[in-house]
Amino acid sequence: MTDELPPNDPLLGVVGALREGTAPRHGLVDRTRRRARRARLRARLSTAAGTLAIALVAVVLLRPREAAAGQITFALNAPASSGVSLVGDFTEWETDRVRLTPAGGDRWEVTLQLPPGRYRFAYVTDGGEWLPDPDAAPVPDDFGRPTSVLTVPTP
Amino acid sequence: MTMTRFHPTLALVLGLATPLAAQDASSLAGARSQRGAELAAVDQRLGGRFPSSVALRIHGIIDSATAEGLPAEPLVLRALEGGAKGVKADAIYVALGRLRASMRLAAQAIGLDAPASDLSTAAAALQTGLAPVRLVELRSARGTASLVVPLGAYLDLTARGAVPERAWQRVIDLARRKAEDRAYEAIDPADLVARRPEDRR
Amino acid sequence: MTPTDAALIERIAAGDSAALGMLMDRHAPALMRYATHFLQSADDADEVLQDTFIRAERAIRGGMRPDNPSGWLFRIAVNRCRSRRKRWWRLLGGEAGELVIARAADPPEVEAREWRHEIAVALAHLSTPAREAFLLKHVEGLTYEEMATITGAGVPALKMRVSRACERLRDLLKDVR
Repeated sequence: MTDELPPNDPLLGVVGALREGTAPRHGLVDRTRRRARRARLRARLSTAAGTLAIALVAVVLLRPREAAAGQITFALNAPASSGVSLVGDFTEWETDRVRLTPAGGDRWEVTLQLPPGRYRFAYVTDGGEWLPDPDAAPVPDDFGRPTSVLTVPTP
Repeated sequence: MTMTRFHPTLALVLGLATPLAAQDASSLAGARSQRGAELAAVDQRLGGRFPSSVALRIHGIIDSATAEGLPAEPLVLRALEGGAKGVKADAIYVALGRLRASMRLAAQAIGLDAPASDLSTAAAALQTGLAPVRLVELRSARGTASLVVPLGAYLDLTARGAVPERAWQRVIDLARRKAEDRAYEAIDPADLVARRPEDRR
Repeated sequence: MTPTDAALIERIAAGDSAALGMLMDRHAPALMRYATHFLQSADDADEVLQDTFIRAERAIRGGMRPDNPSGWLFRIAVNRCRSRRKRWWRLLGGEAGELVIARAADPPEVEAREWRHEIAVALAHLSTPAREAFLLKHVEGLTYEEMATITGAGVPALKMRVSRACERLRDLLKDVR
């Protein structure tokens, strides 16, 4: 086994063809600079989103689904419940970290500030009943409990 | 569940978990170098919720996934979800195994350096029957943008009864046109449901 | 006087973006050639190059001072290509299937284009490590020691990969030219 191809090797023609016609595209330097700037901007935004993730904001006034910077109001009707918790990826599935507040009648609500992403979640009543979100898409659940999923788009 | 404008009346800082979306798309090498710290955190969270034998086995599944360069966080969250729902340990092991396998396949399609949120959403899409090559198409169409919103839209549409192929066409069309994330939200599943039996594929 | 790579790297570290452009002009042609043939896509290769130089700049500004800048840039590009290849190749047919090449009597320019296409198809039938080794050895003209530094594989393994790649290519292309 020698390192180089022998003089009559047909692969020499292959190698010759492979060394031609692959020049870098015009404007590579500028495009790389623009992409680097975008990457730096994304990194800064990501850091900002991480900071926002620690804020939980309870909101009394319910607005229709409209432009939002990650403000999500979770609400459901739970007749005869003495209390309701929101559990999901964003609470690390702890059942007592986010409580909904009464919003009149049987309605319970809480509003969270969430960064863009996709989150699995459900409601749990103080009676231990698991409930899906009435407005969110249902998802197949490995564990046989009602589960919903929410996508928060980029603003 | 409703998206609202910012209207702060009461702010409570409760230390919510950093969501998947906030995780940066780290390189494989970077991910591996973070592995020690990541697993230490995993141990702590799992240790508080599961008996030690269960936590150890879950740790082993997650450890093998991170050794492949897959992110730990989606697996940890799924384990914690199972714990919160009070299911048997075996069901958690099975769910984690499925998720790991789907994320592995997703990583082959969109790259191991994809953000954890992209990988876990892509894994969910694969579990509903989306062909891996579709993920490749979407990755190409979206450039460096996150795949969470288009894949999330596809999953939501099909969950609401849209014909998968039609839902996918709508999503990939938007991706190719570089549509904003909001455009995916506006897709009406009613336009995509099967009207004749032969429409449903 | 043309600045050395080391001098350009010091200037990049100091925030001189023109120096990055000069480093790119110097090394992009070889990286583009390798990435194009490895990925079988000029679009993907272009992105890999952008990614390579973004990572290189970031590393340089973070204190990286490579002994062999050319080999270091190749190492980044090879890794980026591997990562991108995982996305595409396994899903679009992979290394399976028999190659059937029909040769027609066409005008020279068409024939040359088809010849390049046939080479690309044959390359696509090599395993990823074999294609990588063949391109680095015979198209880029690197030594096995340089290749070992770039790929992380041992010299004996690389020699074996190159040898097998050559055998496979000769076999695939034997009826074409």
